[in-house]
Amino acid sequence: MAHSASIEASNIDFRGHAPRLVTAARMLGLIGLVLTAIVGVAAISMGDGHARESIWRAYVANLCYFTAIGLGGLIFVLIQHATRAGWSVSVRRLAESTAGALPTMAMLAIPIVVVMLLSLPGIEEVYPWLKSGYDRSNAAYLNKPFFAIRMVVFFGIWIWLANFFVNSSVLQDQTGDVRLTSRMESRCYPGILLYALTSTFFVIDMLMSMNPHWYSTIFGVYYFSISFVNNVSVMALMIFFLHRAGFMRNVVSNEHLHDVGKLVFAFTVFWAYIGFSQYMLIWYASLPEETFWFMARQSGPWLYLSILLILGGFFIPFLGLISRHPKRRAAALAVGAAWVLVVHWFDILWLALPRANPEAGAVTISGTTLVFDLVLSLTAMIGIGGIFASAVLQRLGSASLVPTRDPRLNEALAFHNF
Amino acid sequence: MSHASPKTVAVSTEPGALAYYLLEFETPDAIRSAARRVNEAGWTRWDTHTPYPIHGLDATMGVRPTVLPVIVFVCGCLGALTGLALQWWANASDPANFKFIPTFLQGYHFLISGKPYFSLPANIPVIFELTILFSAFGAVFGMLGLNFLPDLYNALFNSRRFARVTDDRFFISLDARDPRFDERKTREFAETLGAAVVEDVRHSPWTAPPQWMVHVGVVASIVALVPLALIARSWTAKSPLPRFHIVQDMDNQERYKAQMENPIFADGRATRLPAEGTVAIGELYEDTHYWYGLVDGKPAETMPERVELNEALMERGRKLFDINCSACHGYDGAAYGAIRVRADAIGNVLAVRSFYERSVMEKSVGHLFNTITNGFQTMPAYGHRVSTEDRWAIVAYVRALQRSRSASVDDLTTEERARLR
Ligand code: HEC
Repeated sequence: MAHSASIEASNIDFRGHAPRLVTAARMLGLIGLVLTAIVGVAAISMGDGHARESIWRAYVANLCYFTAIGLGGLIFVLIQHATRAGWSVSVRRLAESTAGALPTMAMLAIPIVVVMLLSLPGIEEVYPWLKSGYDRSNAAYLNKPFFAIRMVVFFGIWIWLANFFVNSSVLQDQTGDVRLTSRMESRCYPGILLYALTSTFFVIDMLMSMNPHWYSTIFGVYYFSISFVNNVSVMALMIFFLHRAGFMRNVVSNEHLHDVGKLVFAFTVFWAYIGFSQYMLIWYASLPEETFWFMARQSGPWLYLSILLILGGFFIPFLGLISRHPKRRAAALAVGAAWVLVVHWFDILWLALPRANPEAGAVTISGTTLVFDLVLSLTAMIGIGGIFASAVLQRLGSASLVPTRDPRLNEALAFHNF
Repeated sequence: MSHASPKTVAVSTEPGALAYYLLEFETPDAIRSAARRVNEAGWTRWDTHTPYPIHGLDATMGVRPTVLPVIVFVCGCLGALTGLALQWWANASDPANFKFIPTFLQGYHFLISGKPYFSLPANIPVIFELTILFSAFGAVFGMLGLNFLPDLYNALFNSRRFARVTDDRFFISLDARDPRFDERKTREFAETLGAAVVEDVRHSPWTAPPQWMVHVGVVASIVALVPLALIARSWTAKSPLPRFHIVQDMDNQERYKAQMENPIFADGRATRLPAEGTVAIGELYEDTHYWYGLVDGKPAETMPERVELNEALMERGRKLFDINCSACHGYDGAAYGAIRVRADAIGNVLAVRSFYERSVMEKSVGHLFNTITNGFQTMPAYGHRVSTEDRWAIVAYVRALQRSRSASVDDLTTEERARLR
């Protein structure tokens, strides 16, 4: 068949290249973590009283950021099976590789749980519900042991889901067994349900509980929108770099790129929709116990970040990606995708860094604390990001870049947008 | 793709005139290669007709990318602007600046949740919806327009063979309006394209619709006018009946009215006092001089600072005095208004006071204000129907009336005095 021929002619074996890249990424990650420690110690010894808090916040923010990408990969794969999507088969393994990094993210989450269990200094400032004197009306949910149990459950479910879907797909490369596809399809529906619950409560625990008495019912959806848009952006970047290195040329065409681009575009709009919905309800009701959270993000340096998010998270990608042309050019889409990834990194910082107090609204922090916040976030990004990337690359290099014997592969190769 | 702009050729559309050559194909591959050749030959007015979309056929035909996305984008932007302008107009524009616009088209200030009249976060949902709506309109009507639809007559449907286009046959139609069209040469060209059949499609004579359809049409058009006529009538007619309640909700709401019973509260009353220590918007009556005419608990001797004495205020005072007070006090304030005159005529007693009685002349403005607000002995109260600002305007006017009866020569300017002599 013509299509199988094009797959053979195309280089889809990344195995030879991966190990070098994996080592490089891992080195980078370790350097980042060491740098974080050095900057952290420097900040503490310089007498910045908030330094310890800054370290934990930067770490949690980046943990959430890269976990979001992995979760985005997971939900992407689940949705493809749920909809029996044909077009996406040729890019599905890219999403499987980001989902496959979730076990590594579980390892990176352990330090935070340990810090919490040991009540190391500074963590109580990040999660006030850890303080002994805290008004404990929701203590039944927010307490150390239950938090730790939940983390184990969340990551356990994700690892289980990711392993099942990635391994089944890889197994099919060898056996060509069509039953694997139907098995994945029948498991994806409960998988989606589990994903929705775990991802929502994960971010409630990790980020929303930084203000234990503040709640927004749309918070989980907001995190989901970040996960999804980040993951498809990562996929667009992967396609760009793999194409440049000569991989997957005939398998992933402009048509597939176009669809990935449409998802990036659609989910930046979705993110804006959800973000605005959250803002508008709180703004309209104007209840002090809710508005202080936004007050903190509308005052001081965070105001500029908020404006950046509105412009950079919505208007710029909206206008930049609305036309079909950039979506069909790998380089243009890669620029858009990189932009989106950077903006949403700031988006997560926007969730994690500002200190807010229900009584006082914004809590002003000193310039040095702000600088340490940002520098530590950057080094932690290099650290956690490097390790995350090494895990993704390892997955990419552990099987072919395309599920070669997926029953819908031919459909994907013949795929054509109208 | 660039085509030389097609020159218009006069083509007969008389019944029986040639409209198309219709080429029938049996396979998608056959139509694809034929389409490529028609395109290469430079045809502009021709089309392919297939039972299902064939990928890439539009490219083979040399169809240019559509401008529809641009139309949709522009419509979307217009929708966003419309949403913004509409909300500004309806809620934030000041009617005073747009007197030349009929009242029923003017906006009015409507305070919602204490937000500013014009506030972007509240406007975004409507902007969003209108953007979507206008984009959808742009897409649908733009598509129809670009395709010259709806098209009530197309000669292609005169071909019986063409019915199979929704079934299992592929067609190319070569339009007689194309500048390249030539009855003989085009036929020859068509026959080289590998079609199973080449058919001449001719214009059909105009057939009148059946008689019953005409009757139904006439009756339906007349019936359709009835609602319009009814609306037109009720716009001009006057009626003692209450108006139609098409949408009930706004008129008859499920809600508690003043003095009703409400079991939710311990005292069983629906009417509540404001929460202690709170003041409703616009009801902070701190300035007792202005709101009650009192200074240090005594009737004010002077007009409050907030009231600016000028021509406009006097004019307003006169108007309101004529409306509210003249019936008893007379237009001149001498206590011979129509009611007083009538009361005297039928032997009733209405002891209206003249403003020029000494006792009234000596009253302070604060006292006059109080009389208008709360009434005075047998004189009724006006505080509930005349606004505070307007009551001060009346006070000013009453004072002016009184002054007019106690003027001396000294009040005149030198010129006026000169004229008197
Ligand atoms: C229904 C008839 C009626 C109308 C209308 C009316 N008044 Fe009177 N007004 C009276 C009567 C009667 C008195 C005498 C009350 C008395 O002394 O017992 C009076 C007395 C007064 C006095 C003298 C009382 C005092 O305070 O010393 C003033 C001033 C006055 N009216 C002003 C007004 C103004 C201004 C209006 C219009 C807003 C008005 N009135 C409308 C019937 C009326």
